[in-house]
Amino acid sequence: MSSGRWERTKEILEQALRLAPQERQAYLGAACGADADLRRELESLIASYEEARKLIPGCRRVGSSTADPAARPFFWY
Amino acid sequence: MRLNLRLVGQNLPKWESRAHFFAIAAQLMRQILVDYARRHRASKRGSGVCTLALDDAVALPQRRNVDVVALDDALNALAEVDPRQSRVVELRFFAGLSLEETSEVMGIATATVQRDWTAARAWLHREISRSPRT
Repeated sequence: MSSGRWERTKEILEQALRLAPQERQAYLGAACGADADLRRELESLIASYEEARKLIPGCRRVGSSTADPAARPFFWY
Repeated sequence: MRLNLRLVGQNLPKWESRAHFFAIAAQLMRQILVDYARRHRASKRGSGVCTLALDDAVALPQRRNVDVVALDDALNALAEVDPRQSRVVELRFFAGLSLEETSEVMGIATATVQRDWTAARAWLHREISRSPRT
């Protein structure tokens, strides 16, 4: 991916994550236009972001030994 | 503290700047943790993924166990796409700098650091989830 395209991807991602989930599809449609690859990439990144976010409670249980470390969000604070 | 001792012990030239100091510190911390994790993994081959309690070594905002080898690989891949973003992650994660401190040290806007950081979380989580755990 070119650096200009990645910068654009980051901008759209940040904006999309500020919106409520139900508003994101419309925003992505407007921001990506006919660029199906860009839209797929953004949907993948948003899904990954949300997946990591859902795992936060497990991560915050300090000293918890029951949670599988491999299932915790890898990279989040 | 351990990191500072190592830095003092190395015969490095005087720091050109604060930014330079933090860049070296973050790289060195990354190297130390990844080397440790790789050795640990090699000595316990077959026993699963090695995670390291980073809170013992780095002043991170939250306690966490991290597969630093997988993170290291993913960060190398990220650096190919976006070297600046990779440095943001290095400073935040391995040197424990805040968004504002990272912004100051790198000489870029806090909003840029925030954007890079947000995208890095999504990108790295995806990259690490994809990679086979060895």
